[in-house]
Amino acid sequence: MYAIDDALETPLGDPSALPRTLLGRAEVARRLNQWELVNRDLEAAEASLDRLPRVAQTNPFLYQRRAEARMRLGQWSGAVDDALEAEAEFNLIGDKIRRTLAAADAALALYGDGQFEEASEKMVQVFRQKGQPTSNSPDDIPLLQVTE
Amino acid sequence: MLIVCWEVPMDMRRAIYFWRRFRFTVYFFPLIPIVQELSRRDAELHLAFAADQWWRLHDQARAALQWESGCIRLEAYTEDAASRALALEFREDVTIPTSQGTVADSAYKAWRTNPFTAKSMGLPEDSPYVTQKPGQAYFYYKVGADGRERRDAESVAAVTRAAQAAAAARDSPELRLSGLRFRDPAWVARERPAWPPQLREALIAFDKQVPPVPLVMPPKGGPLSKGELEFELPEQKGLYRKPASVAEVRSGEQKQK
Repeated sequence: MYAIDDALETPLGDPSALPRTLLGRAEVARRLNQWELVNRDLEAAEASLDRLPRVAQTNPFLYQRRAEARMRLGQWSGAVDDALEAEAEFNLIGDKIRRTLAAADAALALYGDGQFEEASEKMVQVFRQKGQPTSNSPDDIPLLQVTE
Repeated sequence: MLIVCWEVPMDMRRAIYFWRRFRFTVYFFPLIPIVQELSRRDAELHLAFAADQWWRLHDQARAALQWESGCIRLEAYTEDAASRALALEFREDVTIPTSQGTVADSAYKAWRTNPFTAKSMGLPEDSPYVTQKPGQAYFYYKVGADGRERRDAESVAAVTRAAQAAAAARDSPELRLSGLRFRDPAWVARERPAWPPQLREALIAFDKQVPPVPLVMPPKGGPLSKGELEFELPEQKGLYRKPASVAEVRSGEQKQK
């Protein structure tokens, strides 16, 4: 994708510099309501995640932001994938509040995608989960809990 | 030489480790804004769910129940945001109730917010030293000749400002976030751009069929509203795929035999 592919080929000192920069630029574009640019930058950032060490390859915020951008752009099926991915990754790191927020995004995206039954199931899931996030700390024993 | 071999059980060791860590962990995450967002999103999803239940299933009783719950939750969210705004001390927009502070507090505040104090120290009147409470970490900058402030939309100051706007809109039904706003298709298209067009159609259909009812807030500390407790999808319509119980599976096997 445009100049970013060339930039990826250059031996950078820090392999996470490029995705971090792209995330930053996407954030700027988000504040400016330029959703096309947000989507494009986050796609490039996701493509460059493969070059990072495995431990750094998850970033639920990337998928959350891209789901938001795709919902603004009317790309509902892509938004569904991203929102569900964000939900799964927030669940993995134990961030219960953002996980429920991502599920709410997924409900709206599923509705836009025409999957009405799945959307209403997701809404019910949010209603059920909203009282559960009592703590949002990453230190909060996510590994000791039985995940759903 | 006496060797005492005393082994603490693994579970106990794990429990001690966990409680020690738990006790001394300091949570510095700004939780209030995202908890507020969760509250708002959940309330709005109740409204969306109500519109959906009417639009697809024509279940008016369920829809009205869910709509009422959504309105109650939105009202509670708005009220909470407004009261939080009043609790924060920003000089320019919020009048602080003096009964809550001591005399020394109000004297200090009066001295601090006096324009002469700032001038005597060579500061402009709108310096953060004057306009904000110490220790609030409020960063801002001004752009252009008109001096308009630009702030980070998610900073504490910006969230506070949004809460102040909510407080200002408390008495204005035109501005207040409530269920009534979601009956206006133009407002939904403008203010909730991420909502899909099908949902907007559902809201229009719901608005035509179910007239608005004056909201009665339940007493504080009382039980949750009915729609927050009864939201499971109806099974007979094949929407909610509940796993079959063992008894049902067995009775089905007996019927097949």
